[in-house]
Amino acid sequence: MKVLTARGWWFLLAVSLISLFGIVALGWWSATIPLLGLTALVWFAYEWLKFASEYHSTATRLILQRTIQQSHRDAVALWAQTPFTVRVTLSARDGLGLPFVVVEDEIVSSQGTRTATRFQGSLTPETPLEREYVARCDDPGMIRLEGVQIRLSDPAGFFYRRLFLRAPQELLVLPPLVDTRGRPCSRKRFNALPPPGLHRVRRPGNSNELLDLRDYRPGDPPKLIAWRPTARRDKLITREFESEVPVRSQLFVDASEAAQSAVSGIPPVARFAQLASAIAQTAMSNRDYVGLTIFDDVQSEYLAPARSESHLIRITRLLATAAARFPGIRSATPNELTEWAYPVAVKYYPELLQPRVNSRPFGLFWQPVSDSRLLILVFILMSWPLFALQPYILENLSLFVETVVAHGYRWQTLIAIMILPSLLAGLLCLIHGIRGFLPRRARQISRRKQLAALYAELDQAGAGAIEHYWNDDPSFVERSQKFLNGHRVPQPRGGILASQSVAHSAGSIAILARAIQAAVSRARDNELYIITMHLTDDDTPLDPLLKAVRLARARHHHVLLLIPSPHAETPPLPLESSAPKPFAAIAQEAQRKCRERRLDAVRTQFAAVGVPLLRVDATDTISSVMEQFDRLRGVRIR
Amino acid sequence: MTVRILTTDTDTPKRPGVLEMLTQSSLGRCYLFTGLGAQCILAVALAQAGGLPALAPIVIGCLGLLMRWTATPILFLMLFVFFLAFPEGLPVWNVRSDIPRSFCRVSDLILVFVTVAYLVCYYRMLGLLHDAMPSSRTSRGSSQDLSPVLRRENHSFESEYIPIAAVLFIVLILVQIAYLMMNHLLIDMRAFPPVHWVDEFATRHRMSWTPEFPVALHRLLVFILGTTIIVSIVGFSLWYWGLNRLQPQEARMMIRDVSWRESRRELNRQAKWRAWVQRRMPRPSFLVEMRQYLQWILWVVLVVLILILVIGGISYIRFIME
Repeated sequence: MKVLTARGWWFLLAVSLISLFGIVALGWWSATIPLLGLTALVWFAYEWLKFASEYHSTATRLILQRTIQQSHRDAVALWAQTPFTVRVTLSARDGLGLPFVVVEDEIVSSQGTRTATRFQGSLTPETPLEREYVARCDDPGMIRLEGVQIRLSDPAGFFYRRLFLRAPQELLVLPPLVDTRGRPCSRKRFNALPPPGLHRVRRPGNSNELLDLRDYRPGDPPKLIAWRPTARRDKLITREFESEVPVRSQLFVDASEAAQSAVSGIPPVARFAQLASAIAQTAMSNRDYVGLTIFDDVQSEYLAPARSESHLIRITRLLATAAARFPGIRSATPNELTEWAYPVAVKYYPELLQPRVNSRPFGLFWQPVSDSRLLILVFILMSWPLFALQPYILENLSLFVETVVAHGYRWQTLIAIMILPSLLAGLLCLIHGIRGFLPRRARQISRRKQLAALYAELDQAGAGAIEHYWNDDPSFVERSQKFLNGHRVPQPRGGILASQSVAHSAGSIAILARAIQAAVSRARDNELYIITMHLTDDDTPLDPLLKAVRLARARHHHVLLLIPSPHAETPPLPLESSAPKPFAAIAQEAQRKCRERRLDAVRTQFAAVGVPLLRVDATDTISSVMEQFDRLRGVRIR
Repeated sequence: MTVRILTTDTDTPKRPGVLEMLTQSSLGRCYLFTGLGAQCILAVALAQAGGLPALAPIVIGCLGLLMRWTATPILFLMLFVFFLAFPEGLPVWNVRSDIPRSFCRVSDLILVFVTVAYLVCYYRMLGLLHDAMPSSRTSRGSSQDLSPVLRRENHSFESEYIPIAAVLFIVLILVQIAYLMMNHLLIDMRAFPPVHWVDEFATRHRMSWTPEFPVALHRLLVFILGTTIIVSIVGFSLWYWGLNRLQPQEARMMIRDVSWRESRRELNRQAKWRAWVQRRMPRPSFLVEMRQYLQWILWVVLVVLILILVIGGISYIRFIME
């Protein structure tokens, strides 16, 4: 950890030079210069001593307390778009106190974006440092508060220390309560419609609408007898009324890996969650039943339709959990992961990477040739004299030397030829071993060892774990991915078409199709299926989904498909792209057009099976969905 | 997902100008006027010694103070020492300095005190005006923190300014004592003890007490010896204090690290054996691997058999016909 700042180094260098110059060269001439140098040096030493004693006495005994409140209550989960208050209290158990402390508290979103706030002050055991700030999450998901970073410095800025007080805390951010777009309507808009929460089915039931007339059967209540037809036909006729059942809907929310990747700030899954929550709240306020199915590339999670308040909370929690999913690091080499994980470790675990607790011995950097395939070559070169001492080889060798070399140095040359391979082998071993000390490789070795030791500490494992992570690449890769995903570090992106690397897998389509079929098999009457889905790529087959939708339509269920707009899906121009700007713009435009074509194709395919397609980010999406609810309420189909 | 901080951040202010600081910060005002005052005293001293060229460090020092240059203290110090050594501005050794060679003279004390006070004020002003600490390192995915940290004035004049003056005064006295010792201690490795106290003041003798060992070297040896002793004692104390105040996680890490260093080679050997065993794990036999293709193989065999039968049958019929 860096203690002396650049300012401190320069000052120390200048003052040391003046002191030495004054003592050695000018001491006999003038006392002022050595006195000046020495005084500045002693003052510097005093500042160092003061800073070190403050650090050792206080900085190692700090206590962090954090409370998060929303609407004046301690928050277990947060509501999106509602401000919440974070109160951070930093206190010292004992010590001399810290005259100048800078504290940074960081909120990490579920997609890995970091927002920090900073405050400063002095800290003593008697007077803790407190700060309260207000923040707001715009979208559902999850926030993670890792802890606070504390930076210490002396007033002159010569010395600097950084430490991190870890107090990890994760909070779900629930989708917001319905806004003006999805404001529930509590009155009937058309008198022809049944009351909210009900719709009529052409089955015998107990509503007021007449369904049919039939012959009287013993046991029918007398009040149901239709007297006029009875008189006309001269036999008892009974009236049958329609059935009134609640409107049921099932929301299908795409939480696949493609939907988790944020192309332009907000990942599609967060928008889906927000929209689904608004629809569910609006529908449930109309006393309609709402269920939820969250699907990804591997599985789906089902919640049966209901309309209670606890069910709404379950839905919002499930949606928030889906929105909080983190795509994480998919695949990378150990060296890449080392490069990505090390800065994170330096940031969050600075004290565990100090050389005194996490050492890098000199021998660690030596690359033994026995670990490489060159060992065979070295072995052959080393064993060359043994072969050469065979009489036949020796005789031929001396003959060869005699013909090649001038007279008088024959045996010397012969010995040199016999020793030379061993020398070469030694040189090979030396070159191979020294490679570990080259700057780039030394950095990798050093970082990997320190990360291995850190992982061993986090796993509460023994010293063997360090060597295990040091030698075993797959284990190291797996642990590094876990470490980075745990700290919500996103996959670095490079290049302008990086978003295309996240292709919508056919797996999620198959899972969605199966979920729809399961919902159809469980359905009681005509239901509304609202599918929010990420726009698929060209090569992803939609046949399984179309089959499932046809099945649902054949059972008289209504289906709505909600897809994000291609404009929202097109990635913005990267700031540090290696490609020239015009090319990047052309590629972006081409990608957007490609997505628009794909959207048109999808719309055509689904329109053929009677499924309308709506855009997620349109302003009237929720009202369109609600109109579909009303239509379903008014429809009388069996 | 976006998280917004709604509270206005008052602790990361923009860098104020010197005039702005004059009106807002009482501590900054004190430092500024002290620095300028120190420069005035130094200007008088340098002007007396060397004339107008010697005022170059003063110009740089004052401009730096007003313009917030970060490199000024080092530049000023170097120039100031140069003009102290060579008041005329020319590096000629036979130019006589007006500053007398002596010990504990008032003029020396004032000059040194004023110079160090200027440096102290300058660096503290940099903390208030420019940056109080280096920018934090950013990691992947973290917010880019490029705004400088300025020290907010949370100390009063009495709690910060006066203690500095007191400390400087004590430091000055300590250095005088140390310099006295450096000039009176003689190191003679042939005698025991090798360090002697000599009554004669060393600076009055240009060469040496002993012809083979110059005075400058004596002073340097005493300086190095004293510095080494003090730094070792303080460093060892701080090291032990640091060990004493280790966090549990750090202590665990340290013990594990020591254990790893002791058993590293053996653990490495075990890891290599494990990797070797994994490489040599028995693979499924050929028949087991082929079992998954059994259905296809049967189909192929069946088709081939049918083809053989058909071709053989046709050939047999043709043979009979002939």
